[in-house]
This record gives sequence, C-alpha cells and structure tokens, in this order.
Amino acid sequence: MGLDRHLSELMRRAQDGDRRAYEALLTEVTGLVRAFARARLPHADGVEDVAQETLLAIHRDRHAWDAGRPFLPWMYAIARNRLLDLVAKRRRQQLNEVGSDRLLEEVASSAPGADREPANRFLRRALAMLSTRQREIIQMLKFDELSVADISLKTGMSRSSVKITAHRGYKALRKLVGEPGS
Amino acid sequence: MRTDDLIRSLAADLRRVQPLRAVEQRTMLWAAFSLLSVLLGTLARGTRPDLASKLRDPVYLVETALLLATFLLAGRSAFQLSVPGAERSARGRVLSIVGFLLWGAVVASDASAPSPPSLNGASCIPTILGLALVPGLTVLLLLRKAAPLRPGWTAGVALLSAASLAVLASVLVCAREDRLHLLLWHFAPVVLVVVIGSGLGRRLLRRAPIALPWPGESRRTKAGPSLERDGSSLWIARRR
Repeated sequence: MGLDRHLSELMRRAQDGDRRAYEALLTEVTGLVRAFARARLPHADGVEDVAQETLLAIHRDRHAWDAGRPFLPWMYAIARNRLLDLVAKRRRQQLNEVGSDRLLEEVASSAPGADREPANRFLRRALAMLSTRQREIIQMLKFDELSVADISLKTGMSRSSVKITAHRGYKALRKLVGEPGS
Repeated sequence: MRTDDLIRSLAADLRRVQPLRAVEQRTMLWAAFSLLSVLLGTLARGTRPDLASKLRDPVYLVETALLLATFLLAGRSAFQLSVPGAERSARGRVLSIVGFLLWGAVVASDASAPSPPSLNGASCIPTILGLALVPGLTVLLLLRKAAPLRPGWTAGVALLSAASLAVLASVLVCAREDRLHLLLWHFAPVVLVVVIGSGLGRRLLRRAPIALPWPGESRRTKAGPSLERDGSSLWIARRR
C-alpha cells in the first residue's frame, strides 16, 4: 500500500507536468516491470524491450490513470499487455524468419536461366530495388551470415528493429519476384 | 537506446495532461446522453399504438428490463475496459452478454406470441441502426480518448450497449410481436453489429502512435520517423 501511495503521488504530480516526479516514477516503474517480465519470460533478452514498451505506453496513456484508483494495477495491466504483445510479435517473427529463409532460396531457383549466374543477377537486381536499410540488413543476414544480435551491435539498431526491417525487405522481395500470395 | 536515456527523453517530453473523468462518471454521462438521444429518436418515430397496455404485460416488462440491464452493464464494462486495470473481473462483461441472450431466449419462448410468423419487417433494421448510431459513435469516440488494452472486447461490449438501447427503443416503436420477426430483425442485427464491431475493434479504437522528440529535437513532427530513415533505437522503431 505504501509503494502504491508513493507511486500514485508521483503519477498525480506527473499528470500535472512535474518532470522530476515523472523521472522518479519511471525509474521505479522500470525496476518493477523488469522483475515482472523476468518472472514471465523464458529468456532475459526480452525484459528490456518489455520495460521500454511499458514506459512508452505509460507516457502515451498517462491521462488515462484515474487518481481515485491505485496506480499499480494500472501499471501492471499495461506491462502485461506489452509483454503479451511482445511474445506474440516474436512468435510471428520466428515464423517469418523460417519462411524468408526459404524465400531467398526460391528467389534464386525461380530466376530465369538454368545456371547459377543469371539467378544471382536476378536476385541482385531485386535486392537493388529495396531501400538501403532493408538491403543492408538482408545482405548481412543472408550473405554475410551474421546473426540478428551481431547486426544489432554493428548497426546500433535494436534486435526487434533488425527483424522488422528484414521482414519488410522480404515482403518487398516477394512482390518484386511476383511470388504467389505476395 | 538505453532505458535510462529513454526515461530522460520521456521526462523531457512531459506536458501537463487533463486526466480522464472516473469510469463511473463517464459511464453515467454517456448513458444519460444516449438515453436522451434515443428518446428523442423514438418520439420522432412515434411509439406503438398499444404501448399503454403493453406496459402492463409482465413478459414485455421483463424483456425491456433485460434490454435496459444489458445497456447499462455493457456500457459500464466498455468504459472499465478503456482504463488499464479498472476491470477487476469479467463478470460485468459476461452478465451483459447473458442479459442480451436471455432477452433473445424470452422472445423465442414467449408462448403468447401470435402466429403464423412472417419474414416481412426488415424495415426494423434501419430503425435500430439509426437509433444506435448516435450512442454507438459517441461511445467509440469516448473510448478512443482513453486507453483500451483489449480493443476487440471493448468495441464489442460498447456496441452491444448502444445496440441493446436501440432495440429497447425499437420495441417501443414496433408493434409486431411474432417471434421470428423479433429474432430475425431485432435480435440478429445486434449480434451481427457486435461480432463485426468486435472484429474491427483494433481499427475502431485505433489511437495516435506513441510520439517522442527526436534526439536533439525540441519538438517532434506529427508523423514521426520511420525505420527506413533511422532504426537506431528501439523506441524510435516502436513509434510507428
């Protein structure tokens, strides 16, 4: 109850525009959400994503906290929602990664000509039509065989951003090669 | 971006906000407004000629009470769902659905309903949709201003509330009592509206994306950056 009262007071001041109270609130919230996510995620690598997503959602929805209600159920409801969203996104991304591995092979094999060089040229032309960022990410993933974590370190992008950019690149490639269902 | 930097960015971006009114207050205000708009619509349309005698019929009173309860319970649930953590249990949501299904069951089992039934009477659909329009749009607009975490459920119960109020008004207007007419042209359209609304919940209750200043920028643009421009940090990527 003490913690909830303390956080509620910080939130009330934050709604009023007090930046110092808001920074203190978000710092305390981060610790709570990290513990919440750590207890529910099988791997630690998503914990920080959940914490950051929760902070962003709190920032956007801070007007929706009612000072007459406790703060912690509000905060944990947002954290839970962000966590479930992240888990669902990752599941989708994993499926897409498997699909896109196949796709690149199919792009090469579906290219005109029997020998490998025309197929490679076709693939290079298709890649050249992607945005610079998408092309770089796909090249690093599929040709340089770097992992998502390595690319994240190399580019400064988050792992999620790398995956999303690659996914969009694959989608664009599907369109370019006219794959059914694209 | 490191979480500490994100916290600093968020704090720097802080502006004073006007908190939402309490759930109960918002529910009451919306319910009062909806009742008024539907009452005006009903009066404009004209009530059924036998309304005075129907108001002494216990089955008719049970039916209208069930619709009224559905309207209030579903409305309250929708506003609760629009505030994270405000819904302590799903009881209100479930009860509102049960209330409406019970109304359907009472209508279907009413032994005094005249026969033979006929398929005519589709004109009740525009009446119901017309009466539900103002409460339905208002509730969706109000919910968008809050923070619904389960948009499908939120939109579904919100539209159930608006539609059940419209059906309540429609039985004050429509004098037809055969079961098939009521089930086909009063009950089924509500089910359809709720199912479609629930499916489109994410779109109907779509809110502005999370918006933050660029590093080194005091004000951000409305559209925000895209991954293609710069995907250098998690929080920029999530702004889309």
